[in-house]
Amino acid sequence: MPAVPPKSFVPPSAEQFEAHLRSYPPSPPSKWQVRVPILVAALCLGMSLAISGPVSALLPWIGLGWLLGHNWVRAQRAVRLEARVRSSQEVAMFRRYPGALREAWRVLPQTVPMPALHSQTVAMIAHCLDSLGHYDAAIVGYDYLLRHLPPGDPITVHIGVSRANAVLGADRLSDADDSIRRLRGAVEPYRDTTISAAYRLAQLAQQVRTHHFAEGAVENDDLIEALRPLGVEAGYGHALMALCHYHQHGDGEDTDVPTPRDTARLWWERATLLLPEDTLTKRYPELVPLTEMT
Amino acid sequence: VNEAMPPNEPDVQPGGPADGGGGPDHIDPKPDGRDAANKVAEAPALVFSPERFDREFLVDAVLRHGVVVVAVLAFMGLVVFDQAGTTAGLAVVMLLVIGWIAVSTISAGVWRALPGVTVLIGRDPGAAEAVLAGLMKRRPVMRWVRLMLYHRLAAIRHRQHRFAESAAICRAVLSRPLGPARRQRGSLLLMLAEASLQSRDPHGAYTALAELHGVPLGLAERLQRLTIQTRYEVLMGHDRAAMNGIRDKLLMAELMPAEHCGAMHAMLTASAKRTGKDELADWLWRRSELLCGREQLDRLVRGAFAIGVVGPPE
Repeated sequence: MPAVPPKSFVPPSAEQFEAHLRSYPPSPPSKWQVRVPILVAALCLGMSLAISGPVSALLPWIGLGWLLGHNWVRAQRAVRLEARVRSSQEVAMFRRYPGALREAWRVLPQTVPMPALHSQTVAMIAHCLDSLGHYDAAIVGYDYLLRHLPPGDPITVHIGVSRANAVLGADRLSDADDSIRRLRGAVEPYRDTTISAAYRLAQLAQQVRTHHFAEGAVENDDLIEALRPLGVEAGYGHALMALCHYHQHGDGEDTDVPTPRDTARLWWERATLLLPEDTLTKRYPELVPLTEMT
Repeated sequence: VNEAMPPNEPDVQPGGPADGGGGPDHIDPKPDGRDAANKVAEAPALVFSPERFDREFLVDAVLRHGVVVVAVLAFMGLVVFDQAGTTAGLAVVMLLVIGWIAVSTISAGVWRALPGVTVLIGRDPGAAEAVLAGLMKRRPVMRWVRLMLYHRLAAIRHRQHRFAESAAICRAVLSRPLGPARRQRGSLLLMLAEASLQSRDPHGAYTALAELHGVPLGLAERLQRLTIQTRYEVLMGHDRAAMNGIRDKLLMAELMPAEHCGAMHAMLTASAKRTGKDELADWLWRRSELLCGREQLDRLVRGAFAIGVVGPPE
């Protein structure tokens, strides 16, 4: 049974999302389905040869009209669907994830004949679920895309990194470790892009989640540069770096050297310059102690 | 980060280049440093001139209408010579149908190739131009398909920083009825607005921006319009207009790629400073320091609001 969202829509569970994907797999039209309109037009032409009279002169035009009309209707349908998917993407860009998710969920069954649009919609649903903190459900979407997209494609790598971040969010630490390690080579060609920046964020989040704060803190030299492609979302990385320093212990003897607390404060200021505190703590609840430094 | 000048005083000079985000997302590290070999490689396969533009549309129209005229004459001939119901008459009708399909197929083929050109523009404008040159030679194509081809040519020229040519193509395309190509109107006006700013034609930029407010735009295009309009306002000294609704503008800026977002902050820093809002200017500048790379910040400090593919002033 397809998972039909109730009227008052709530984010679907991982099982519901899986069932939705199983119910509506991409299925491009078969060769015969594509050829049917042409065959109908050819039939009209054939009939015009077989019969005589004024109808025979009309039949070729009827066949042509049918062919054009059919293609026009199909094109219009595709344009309408693309517009719906684009509109849900725009809603998601404004961080109105429930609305975007609802629209993407509803449009998914209609994208079945168009595999590219179908993948785009699945990615949208997964992204919304990820942003809403429903990591297990988001991972279902990411896994589905990773199974269906060509390996090595930039989008596949991007999805892989998003999945690694979601897995960390779901506290599946061994799975996250595998994912991050496997992605290392794939991310290499995408330096200074959102892909490499998201990967760096995943590495940092992993260090925080596994309490390797010291490891995280020593790798701060190029962090601003590395996270820059994320835009304001680089603030998450700055906040995690602040947490790494927060958990360090300075000796406090040399007054010229900034203490770990000073460094943590500096990184936290950078983080809160880009993102509000509640946004930071909502995604990473372990950041809550840092709010005292504000 | 900013050693060259005090953080709150980005020097704003009219004529500095900017990109409203219409282009791809990387900064050309040495936009003026194209060596001779590159210049040869980038030698345009297509040269735009208004005369050639008009001539191509005329040739298409003559060929397309020629088919219609032949069809009408053939029908009249069939009726006059009482051949309408005969096998010869039917053969003529079928030949006309096949001819009509053949003519439509040329346009359909060109239209189907356009998304490929769009992808190539982002990766390799030279290769995109070569493909486009091949498509331009095909005729007859429908008027709106030809307009779409010229739209892509404008995008290539924009990407190559040949802003005067890009503006000329946009103007030529916009001067014709767009038909089904009207969905590109926003994109054309955005390119025209930015190319006009690049060509130091604020009047042209203003006209394009004013027209853009009457065109339905997608979110990405609205973000580009915001960047170009802010740049126009800052360059023209309309600081109050630039500061108007700054909260919403910053929310929109946060949806942009990091470089564009950083440049928006830097531009608004200039206006905030000039309107005496020092604290806000300081906050905006500190944010732009985090959002922009060192190289981009250096250009911003020099007054070149350079984002996307656009480099320092020539």
